[in-house]
Amino acid sequence: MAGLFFNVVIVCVFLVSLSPAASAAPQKTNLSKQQSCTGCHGEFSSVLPAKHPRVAGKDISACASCHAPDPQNKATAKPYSSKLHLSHVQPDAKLDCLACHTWKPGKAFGVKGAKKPLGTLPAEGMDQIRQIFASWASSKYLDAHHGKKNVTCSGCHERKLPESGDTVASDRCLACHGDIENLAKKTEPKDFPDRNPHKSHLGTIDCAVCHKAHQPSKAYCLDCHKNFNMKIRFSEGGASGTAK
Amino acid sequence: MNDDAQQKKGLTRRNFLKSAGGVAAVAGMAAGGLAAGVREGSAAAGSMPKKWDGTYDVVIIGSGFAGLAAAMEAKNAGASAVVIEKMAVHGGNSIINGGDFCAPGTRLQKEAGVQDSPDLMYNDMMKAGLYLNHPELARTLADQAKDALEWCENYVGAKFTRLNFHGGHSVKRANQTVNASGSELVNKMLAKTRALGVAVQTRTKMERMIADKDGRIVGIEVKTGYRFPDEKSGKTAYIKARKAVILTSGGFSNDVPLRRIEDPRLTEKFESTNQPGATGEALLAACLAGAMDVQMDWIQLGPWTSPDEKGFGNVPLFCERLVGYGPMIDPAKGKRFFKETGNRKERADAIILLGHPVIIMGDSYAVPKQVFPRALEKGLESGAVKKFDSLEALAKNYAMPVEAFKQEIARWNSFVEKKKDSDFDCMIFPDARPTVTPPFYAARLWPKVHHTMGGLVIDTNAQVFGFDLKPLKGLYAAGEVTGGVHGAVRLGGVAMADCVVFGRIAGKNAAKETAWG
Repeated sequence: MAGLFFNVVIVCVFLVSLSPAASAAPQKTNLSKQQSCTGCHGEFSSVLPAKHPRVAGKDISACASCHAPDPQNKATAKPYSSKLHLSHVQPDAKLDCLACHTWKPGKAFGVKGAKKPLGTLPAEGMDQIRQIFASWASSKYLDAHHGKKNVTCSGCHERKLPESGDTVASDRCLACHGDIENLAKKTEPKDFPDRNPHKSHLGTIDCAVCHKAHQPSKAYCLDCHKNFNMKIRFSEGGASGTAK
Repeated sequence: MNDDAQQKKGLTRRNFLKSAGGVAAVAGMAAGGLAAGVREGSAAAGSMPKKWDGTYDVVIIGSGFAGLAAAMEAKNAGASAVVIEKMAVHGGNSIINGGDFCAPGTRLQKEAGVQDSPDLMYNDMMKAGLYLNHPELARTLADQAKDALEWCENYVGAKFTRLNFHGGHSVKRANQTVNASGSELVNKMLAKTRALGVAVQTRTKMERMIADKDGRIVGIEVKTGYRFPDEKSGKTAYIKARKAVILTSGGFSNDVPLRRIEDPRLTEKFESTNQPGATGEALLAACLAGAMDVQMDWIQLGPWTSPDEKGFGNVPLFCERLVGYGPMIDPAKGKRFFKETGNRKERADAIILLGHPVIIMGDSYAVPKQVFPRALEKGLESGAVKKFDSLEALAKNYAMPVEAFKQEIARWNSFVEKKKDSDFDCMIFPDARPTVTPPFYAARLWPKVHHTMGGLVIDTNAQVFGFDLKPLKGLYAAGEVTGGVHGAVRLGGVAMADCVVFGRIAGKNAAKETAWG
């Protein structure tokens, strides 16, 4: 799962006022039926800073005269922020992707009003995006945990539309979570020091072998060593378990 | 050329056998199970792709001992190389193997005063293999094992620190890694391979081999981003092999449909000691591209494994130290049924014939004396080994007829007193004592599939041969995916030597090939 359009530098002030603390909370009724911004927010001015020029229009295409998607993160002026997603995919906000995006199955996928599409997306790719965004917003798994910390798709993935089989390179994980030696120290069991998931006979394996973002995480050790007392966070039982 | 002539030409021996191989693969799929799914999508070597997604001189399939040895040698001979691995984790069976590397005349043998020679090792291999081994392959292995071990120590940097004995060998010749695991070697091989600039791509599964119009192997079709065992996962890509493909994909102990074709007894009732990815679709893909297979029905079972723990586990270490000290019992009758000290194959066959798990047991004289404390502790912890205060309690736990069982123990004890087993001629060791001292320890035994001796036909250059009995250009193979090296039975500790010796040969020779394009 990738996030080309989801992690651009926040230049857009628009975004700031859409944070959960924003004063103008949208009406929560019939969100699924709303396919425009103004259907929930009333006037754009209710969610924009005072100095923002007046915006005429109903949906995100109204922004396109000044803002543009910035999939390659080349910091063109005033890109949309991927964090727009975070406030719009909350569990109670059942907005469909197509409220703001354009898509022809198997063909172009883009932002309404933008000149260029973000890429092509097959039918199953759209299903995947819907599922993963829902998971990111409200699951008990690693994706939602990252979402809460404002980590968007490209915090982990490449900047491209997602494809089946995409994974996360371990150095992306370790960039924030420290090096593997430190992780190993944290997870060394007291009773059996050699049963350390981060320091085992498997050597260095990909983080994603055990830590899954959009589905339950599972300690790979347990595939063979059934009786190990080993817990992993964000497993089938949700976020409660801690790695020991 | 008229149609008749064309048809005749079309029906060459190779083509005929290729279609026969196809039938076998389809039959395997119909038999169901996990591995059948894994095999979906494998197809005969077919059309060339319009575009190659990657190009290397040498493309290696599999990241165990053999594959990494081949990769390093190919790279060091000046070839560009890539290693693909279908699983998410590198190392295959090599990373869970016991770390015993048999070789004659080694440093550890000299330190221990053991006299050994390549001839002696060769003879041991041939005898165990019922002389079905391809002698030139066994000879190559015995002759080069010592050099291969020293390469692992000196070039790769793996540490071997202990000398072990394995049944069937004339002398102690198993050089054990410092952590008693193949991971010591495979992880260091991986680091070295990467340091040489060879990429090791996990979750990349070979779907088929690609041949040109003359049948030369020129590349492979793969799925990248593959998630074992989901055959719908991944994205098709084509990798060009300018010089050669080296197949080091391992055996098929976990491929129920395929092993049932080769040995119909080996249904899903039999677990395996192997990693889950030890399936045969890569081997079959080579056959579909014209490679010949040999001795595929020689599949080794360990008679010392337990149905109460996963994989190899701890019970083998419990069982093998107790044979000749305690009896093996058929719980249905409460009686012994076979010679406890018989070889792997005899004992596994006897248990399979009974059709249900049996019991190995010992008393509080034999068990603490014979069994490595850690293995016993771990076995008890997992519940695969149980402890009983009395023979009655033991019999009750396994639902055995108590009186018959107690009589049988008395009979066994009389044999132990005489040091002669009149029923099955079990070898009773001089320090064995009657099984009388509580508590008693017992474990259930049910054989597990351990090693597949058969596989692709290779010569001493690791060159794969085709069904026309000629070299299949562009394809080399090494390790468990090949056949003939071990004949009927692979001896303990010889797999590591096999993989490293022939992996190195394959890598060097693949690099010497003339590039086709």
